[in-house]
Amino acid sequence: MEKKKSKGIKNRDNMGWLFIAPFLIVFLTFSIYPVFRTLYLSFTDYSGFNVPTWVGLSNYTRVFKDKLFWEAFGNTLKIWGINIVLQLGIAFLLTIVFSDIKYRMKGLSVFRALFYLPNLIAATSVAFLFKTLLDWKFGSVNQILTGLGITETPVDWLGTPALLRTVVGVIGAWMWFGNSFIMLMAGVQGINGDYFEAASIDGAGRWTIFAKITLPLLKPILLYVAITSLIGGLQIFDIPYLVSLGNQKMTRSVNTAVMHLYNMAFKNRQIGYAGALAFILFFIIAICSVVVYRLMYAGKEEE
Amino acid sequence: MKMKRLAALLLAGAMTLSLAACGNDGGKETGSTGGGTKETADNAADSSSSNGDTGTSGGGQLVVWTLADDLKQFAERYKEQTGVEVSVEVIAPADYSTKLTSALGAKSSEVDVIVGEPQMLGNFFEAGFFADLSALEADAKEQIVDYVYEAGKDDSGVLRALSYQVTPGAIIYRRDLAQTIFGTDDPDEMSKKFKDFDTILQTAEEVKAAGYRIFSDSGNLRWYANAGDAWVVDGVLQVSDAKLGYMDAAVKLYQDELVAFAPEWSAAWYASMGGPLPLNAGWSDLADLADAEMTEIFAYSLPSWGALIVRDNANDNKGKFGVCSGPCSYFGGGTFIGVNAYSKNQELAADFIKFCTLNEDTAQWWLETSNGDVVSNKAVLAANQDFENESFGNQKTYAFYLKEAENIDYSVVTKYDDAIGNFWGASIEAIQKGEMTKEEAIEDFYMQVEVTFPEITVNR
Repeated sequence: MEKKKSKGIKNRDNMGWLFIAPFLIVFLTFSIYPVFRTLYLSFTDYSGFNVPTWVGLSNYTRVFKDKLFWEAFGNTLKIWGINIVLQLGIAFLLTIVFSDIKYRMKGLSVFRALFYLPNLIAATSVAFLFKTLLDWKFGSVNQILTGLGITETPVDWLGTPALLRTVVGVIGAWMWFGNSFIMLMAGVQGINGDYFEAASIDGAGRWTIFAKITLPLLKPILLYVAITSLIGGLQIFDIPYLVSLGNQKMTRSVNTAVMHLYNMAFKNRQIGYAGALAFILFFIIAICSVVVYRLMYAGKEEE
Repeated sequence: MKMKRLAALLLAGAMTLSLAACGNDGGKETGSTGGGTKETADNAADSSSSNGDTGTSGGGQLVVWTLADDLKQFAERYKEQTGVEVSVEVIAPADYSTKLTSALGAKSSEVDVIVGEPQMLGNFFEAGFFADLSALEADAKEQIVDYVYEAGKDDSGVLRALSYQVTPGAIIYRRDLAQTIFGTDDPDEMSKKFKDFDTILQTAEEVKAAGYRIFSDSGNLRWYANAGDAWVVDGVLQVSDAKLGYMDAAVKLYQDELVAFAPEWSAAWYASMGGPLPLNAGWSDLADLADAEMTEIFAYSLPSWGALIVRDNANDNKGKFGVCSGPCSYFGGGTFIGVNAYSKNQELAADFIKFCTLNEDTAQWWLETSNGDVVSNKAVLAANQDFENESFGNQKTYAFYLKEAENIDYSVVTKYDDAIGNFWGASIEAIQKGEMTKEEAIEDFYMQVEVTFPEITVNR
């Protein structure tokens, strides 16, 4: 009897594998295998057509000499900088407004849905929408600006490198501020309301409450939002790619690190080298994430 | 409690069953489609056996993957003559490379005849997708224009693809405007006006002085930048005088506003072939430019297929065009066909290639059917030398293209041409817009080449 029971338990242990099998198989095939395949290819001269030949670390050393990659990385940082300031700035502002017990804002769920909407539009549509709005001659934005007499000549939004980078950053912020807002708001709602009440009874002002209660208690969520935006931002590809599609010169001015990787892999057919770029990018992002994490928790550790 | 469990079990069972039912339905559908295909296959087998003498029992069917509709007509004609069923699948150019690479990378035999444009062939050859066509080599060498035969060979000189067409470049000009501006519309005289980049600039100024524009856009001459001499010789980047000449010309055409600023493939570009067009139209909708200053374009610089585009959009200018030579002979594009190295029907597929490319009757038929495509068969081009082309002011266009095609020097073509040509174009644009000086732009060009192709030596 005893034996039979233990056998039954053992069998059930193995049943677990069966239950996770669907996920495990898909995960191994489509996530783990490609990563290791890429790692292997990054040490070869694979072009997508030939038999890969081992070339050692030469693809990696080449990355450090690749001026176009570092130019692209610089572009990525510029775009991300604009993006993150606006995205988190707007999300924060809205969080403050919506979480303030004195304002008693109504319709949070409606606004939450509205703010999140841009994120639901496909990147392609967003890119073409902005391309139409910002057209040099006939775009609505320029027509409004010239119509109101703010500028005399139409602004070439999509044809001026710095402006185009700004535009891409702003589009990113517009698409993602709702997402950040939802997360920050969830964080705020997770804070015990008693703290706010107690603080306001003690006479703390709006800013004191925000700085001394909301912000510190929001830190874990803030960290999560910061790191996910960092990872997403450094991998930015779709919007800059689509906005500059078909315009070689502009492609270069918003050429991001991942676009460079894409070009190397699929335009120049240097898949091995693109693999090396991918891993370098992975390490850069990993290091940045650690740095962000350390910065945010630096104070705590000292305590 | 037990009842509840039982009910849950039953429910779960019902759900599973309903899922299974869905699956079954799907299965049935696929089954019936499969049957359909089989039926057509049977029919095909029937028809080929009733036609008799194909000499290909059972395997009398070919599958072709191609980039344009052309081969459908070839397939129909091939079936008429041999009874062999050829099914042609046209794949969008943007997807073609990917589809072919994934299918043939898996050594698939589902396709027998495959195609490629010249710039794709190098990769496909290296990957071993194209079967050896050495059996056709003797005929090809004799019958086909040299550059096509050269372009169909891989690095080690084995013939792997052939084309039924040639695509030599030309300057397509307006005869009526030539009369007004220069007092002559003779193609030989016009060729002198386009003999090198300096002369082209002079011509451009004369054309502008007469109230027209020489080209639609400053990039029109780019074809000539890649031809003439090679970008890379023995692994070393070459920036020849001709290439610098092209750069200077393109910058001057832009800065002195000698062109109409209607990019190729834009609405204004198409419109310009049939009548006046607004200046500085860019990619705009023509309806938006109703009150713009109008001009006319004197010339287009395009491969032979471009001349057909001009002809087909000529409207009021029908018959008013002529073709003449530019700074050098070059070719652009063209469909090359070959046999899938993994095909189980290689002999039959090779026979189809032979039929399409090395058959004088086919070439003559295609020249007539396509209404102006320039075939690669030398004898047929020669036979049509005296054909006077109405659309081009009764010019003997086949004689012209034959001469251009024979002058093409394939040895200057490298696998880097597309990419390096694009970098050069980007540098030129930077100078045109005043963002970089010529020195900076060339330095930037060197950097891009170096970074993208580490195997190329750049001597500054």
